[in-house]
Amino acid sequence: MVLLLLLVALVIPLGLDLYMPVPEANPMTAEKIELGRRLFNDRRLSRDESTSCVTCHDPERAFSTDRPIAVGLLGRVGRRNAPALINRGYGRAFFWDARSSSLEDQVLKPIQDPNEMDLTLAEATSRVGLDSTTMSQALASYVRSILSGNSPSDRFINGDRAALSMEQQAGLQIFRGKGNCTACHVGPNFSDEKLHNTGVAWRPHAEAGGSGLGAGVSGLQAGAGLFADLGRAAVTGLDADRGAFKTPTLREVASTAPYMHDGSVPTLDAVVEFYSGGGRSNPNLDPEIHPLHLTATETQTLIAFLQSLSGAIREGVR
Amino acid sequence: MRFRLTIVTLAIVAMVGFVAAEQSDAARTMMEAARKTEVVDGDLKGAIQQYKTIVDRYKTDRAVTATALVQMAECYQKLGDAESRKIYERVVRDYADQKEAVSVARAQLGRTESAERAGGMSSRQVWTLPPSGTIDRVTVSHDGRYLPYTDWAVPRGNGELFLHDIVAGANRRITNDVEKFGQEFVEEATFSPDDTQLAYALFNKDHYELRIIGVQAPPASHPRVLFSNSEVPRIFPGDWSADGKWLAVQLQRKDKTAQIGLVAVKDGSLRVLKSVDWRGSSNLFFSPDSRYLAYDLPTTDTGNRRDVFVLAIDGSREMPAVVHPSHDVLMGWSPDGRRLLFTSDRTGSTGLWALAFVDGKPQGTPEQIKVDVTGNSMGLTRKGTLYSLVHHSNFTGVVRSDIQVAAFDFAKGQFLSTPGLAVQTFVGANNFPAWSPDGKYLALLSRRGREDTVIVILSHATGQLRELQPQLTIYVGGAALRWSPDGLSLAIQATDSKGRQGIFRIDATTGEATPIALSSRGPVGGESFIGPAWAPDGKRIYYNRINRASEGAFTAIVERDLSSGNEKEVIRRSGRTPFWDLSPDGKYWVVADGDFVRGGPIPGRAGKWNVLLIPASGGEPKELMRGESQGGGVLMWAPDSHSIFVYSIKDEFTGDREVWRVAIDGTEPQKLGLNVNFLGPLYNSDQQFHAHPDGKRVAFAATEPAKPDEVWALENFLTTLSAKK
Repeated sequence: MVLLLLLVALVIPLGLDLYMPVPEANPMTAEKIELGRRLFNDRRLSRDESTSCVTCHDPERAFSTDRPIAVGLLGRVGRRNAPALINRGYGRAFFWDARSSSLEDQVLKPIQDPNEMDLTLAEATSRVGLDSTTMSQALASYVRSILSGNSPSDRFINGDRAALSMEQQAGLQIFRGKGNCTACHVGPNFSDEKLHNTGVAWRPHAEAGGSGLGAGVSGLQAGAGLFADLGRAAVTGLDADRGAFKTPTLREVASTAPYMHDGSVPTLDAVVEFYSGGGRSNPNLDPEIHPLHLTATETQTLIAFLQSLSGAIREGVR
Repeated sequence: MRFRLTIVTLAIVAMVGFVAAEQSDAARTMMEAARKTEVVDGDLKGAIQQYKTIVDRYKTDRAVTATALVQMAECYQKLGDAESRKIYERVVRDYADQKEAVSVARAQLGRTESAERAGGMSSRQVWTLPPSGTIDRVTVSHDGRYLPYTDWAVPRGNGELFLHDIVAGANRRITNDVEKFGQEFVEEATFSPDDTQLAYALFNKDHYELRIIGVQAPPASHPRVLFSNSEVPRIFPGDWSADGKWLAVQLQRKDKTAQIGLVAVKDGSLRVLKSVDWRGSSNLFFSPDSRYLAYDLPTTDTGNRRDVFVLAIDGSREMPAVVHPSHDVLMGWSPDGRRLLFTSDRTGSTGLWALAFVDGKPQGTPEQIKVDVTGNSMGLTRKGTLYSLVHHSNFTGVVRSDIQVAAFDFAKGQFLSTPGLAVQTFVGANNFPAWSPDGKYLALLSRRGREDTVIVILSHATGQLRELQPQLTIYVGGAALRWSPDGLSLAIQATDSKGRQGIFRIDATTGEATPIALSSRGPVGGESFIGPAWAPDGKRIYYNRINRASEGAFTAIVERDLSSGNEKEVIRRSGRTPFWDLSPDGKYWVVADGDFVRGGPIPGRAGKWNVLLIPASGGEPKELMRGESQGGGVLMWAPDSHSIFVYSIKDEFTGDREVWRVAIDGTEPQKLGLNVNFLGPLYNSDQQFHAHPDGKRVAFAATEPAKPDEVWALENFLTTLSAKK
């Protein structure tokens, strides 16, 4: 049963729900959040003590990284881009493939991932002198405390008509209308918390490099190729889930480049161009993705609006 | 040979008899064992398991099964578990041939109702709304004397807020906000704790506002605008906290996100508590101590079943209160705050239930208070009387609707045979017939409960019915269903799981829905798309784009190329134009235009109307007919596309219609003796007739107009509950 039990008063910024779901078994306390913060920055949680959570989730970049693919200890390269950790307390699914259903479960995975921190849980708990439940609960509590809101967009929607420029207001219209962005980027956190195939992982045969991660799809006219990353299908085993990834938040999106699950799109301009062109055609392309034919002006206004989603980031009990 | 066969037959009969006797003995033994567990050991749960085993093992022995079910129900009854009622109902429904068991079950079911009466519980009708009155999520005054409602009569009502005085039987106008009828109106309303003020939602031509007004008469005080934000197109109050400080509200953002929140009565500031599914909660009710807010939410993206939740108003925690596979809808709190009240269909019929709420938490299992309740909650009074609104319509404006088919002479415009019922299931819930292009199938919309609509396809060759359940919300009032020319799919106007209105294609085999065109329509305002029609080549689709902007409202016919997605407007007309219909050969549009809208005549206008013919490729409309009317529309095209059958309303109160056959070659329109008054309300009339492609038959929906809505009060049910405890 999921309940919120906030024993500590987090300041919820404008634009976010006052209610944040927190497991009954892990009520938030100031002590736990502080412990979580220390663990988040603790390099002892990596085998060679070189890497901590903050290595890939940089507070200066809305708790994301500027590297396309996360780089862990000893320069090991992971599989995907490290996503922004803001407002994850409102999340319902975690990791790009939604393989975790709780933050308590999610936060321990990178510690054990050979390409990230490469420790067994036993080693990790021994190093920091805490049991795994305490570690998990503290890290999850800290991540829940990382909040972004009170952006110009929030202030505009709350009635401050001067909070967005005319260009940004025009971009908001594109965002909700012709851009069809709200098909997935919806709600206070600009994410439906669901998984969609936009074609980012699709490699037509001509481009396919044989990464070994994906699985080929043949016999499809004008679409034969492979998925460089199976996405959700790696969890479910379902063909229909191939190439599907969770919708990321757009809050602070201006400072979380590069974009997409593989960090393959370097700029917001390129992201908008990708969607304006209809994503990348593949057998599982989400029906919401279709060519938008945005004009240069529309693209510019949409990007201006996306930049208005940067607000104030809070973390911890402060 | 015959001798051997007889021997074998006798042997088999004997064996069957022996096996049956053996089975019967075994069943009897098991029944006796279960009875012992129940009566001697007093182990009711153990006995239930034994009865279940008997039911499973002797499925084919109806006498044994029925008896075991009755015994099982008795055990549940002793445990106070509502499952007992469900089982008794099952026995009555499924074992009519087992008279003794049915008799016992009936008696037990009757006893439950008697117990309600013995407890002093009573249900009475307190008011029938005037025909021009509607109630949409309002709460009764805390003293139980006043009921807010909206009156739409012109000029008396104008869409303003009224109060009905239950004691005096009088109605009194409260607001004076509406400047332009039809474009401004009042809807939801809730009383302040001292019953001196009402908070209500006013649609101000662009978006909804929250307003507060005093109800002392005369005169009503000037309203205070508490909340108005064009970025929040929809907001309405659900309840007023007992401390007077907060209004519980529901709102919807422009991205279709619905939210539950609090608006401070002092300064109108909004505190969003929780973002939810676009469909929101049926009701919002504060706990009597104002510390908690209860609501219900859909459990899936597409289904309409709901569960009930309680949220601390400081946002600190949410408690799932009623989580069950059944459809559970919040009704309110008991005045002492110790019970949460809800309706549930968990026993097969909808009943009123209570769940204990102690020390800030839901406790125990729910207890059934009353069987067979209907209506939407209007809240409880201080004394604990529950008021509810009972709708009599299955869907918009009609109480029942059925598809009939008859031979029809399109040249003379008359029936050639007595209409016969086309679909004999879900009688009274079927609407909007559409023949497939080859005439072999008849598709229609069929209601399931108050909120679900499915598409039913009837095969004329086999008589078989297939149901399609697209993951869409289909609003039946004004829905259009049309087959694609290749007969593989259907087009309909609907709303998807993301709350987006538009035109959707539905696979006629799988029911899978894909959007064709999505409108910008939000909770209010914006454009909406209705009335899809296929071009004969199947490569293009047309729909009506309706813009209801207060200034510059228009209707346009849009042609969309299905392969490229390119669109062009065929024609645009200013004002509020009713439904347009495309000829079967795809060459012409016809529209009935004039001083009326889809819901009736425009107040104060002359009642002029005309029938216009418009080339499908665009061009100037040609007037085919003109006259005076209080409304009208297109009944159907003749299959040869040479004439149109139109109706005009002669009397808006009785709905009496005249039907005309109008030839497109401009010859004099012909008034027919065809009686189509069974079509029900004007706004439910369009697209209710559909000509068979063979030109010899017609399918249509015969409707029965709904009775006015009623308000009922349930009294003394909490006493009954306490007595049970």
